Amino acid sequence: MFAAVFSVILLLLLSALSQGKEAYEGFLRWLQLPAVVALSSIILLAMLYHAGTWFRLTAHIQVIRVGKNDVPRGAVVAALLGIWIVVSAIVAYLYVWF
Amino acid sequence: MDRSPIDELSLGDILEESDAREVKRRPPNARPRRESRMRQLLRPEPMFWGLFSAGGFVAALLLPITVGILGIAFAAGWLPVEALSYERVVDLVRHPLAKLYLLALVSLPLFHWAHRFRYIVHHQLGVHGLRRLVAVACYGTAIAGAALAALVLFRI
Repeated sequence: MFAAVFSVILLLLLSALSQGKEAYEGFLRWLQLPAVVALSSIILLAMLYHAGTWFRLTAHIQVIRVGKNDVPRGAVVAALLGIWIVVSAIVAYLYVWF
Repeated sequence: MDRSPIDELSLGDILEESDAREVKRRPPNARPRRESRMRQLLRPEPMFWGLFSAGGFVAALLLPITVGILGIAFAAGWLPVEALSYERVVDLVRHPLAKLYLLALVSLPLFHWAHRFRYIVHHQLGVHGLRRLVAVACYGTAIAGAALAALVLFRI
């Protein structure tokens, strides 16, 4: 649900970007409105919750075997969390400093 | 860790329940269904499940950091001044790989939403009719969003 709301926000950003500098800077000002920041915070919480449930779900659906033994679900979730941290760091680097 | 309902209900139970509602029972004397591999691949249901899954991963892996940076860190002034400047962002977004990434980032969560919302309407809100209409509305919205994203990205 909230992911879709954010998709729409991203779509608005890209559309502003395609209309030139003025439209884009107007959009950035909109992004800084307290109501929009509040909405972003809600979306962020929902996305973190989604990430948690999604990784747990993945660990249930995709059982990984090493030799004869199933890898414990906790370990799969931990691995996914590790991947999540690395991916987030790479993406943050690309967004901000690249 | 707390036990959530998902620990008590196996995935098999959930899918069986879902199938009982979604799939019409075949008459006992019906001929076994034969489909070419190509037809199997092009059936919409597995395709939308695939998009749902891909969207779930995008939403889990890529969206939190994206929302954090665009929605919160920027407004709070935690980013370097030039990070979201028009020149830098346009430059970045014009790269074909960045466009591909953004197309996936916008459209896959929409397909995830469409599939999820369709099941919310039927299973959680208890609307059991109007299947075709709900499916067209949900997937149609996602397809429209993806098309719009592609168009906008093409014009940047």
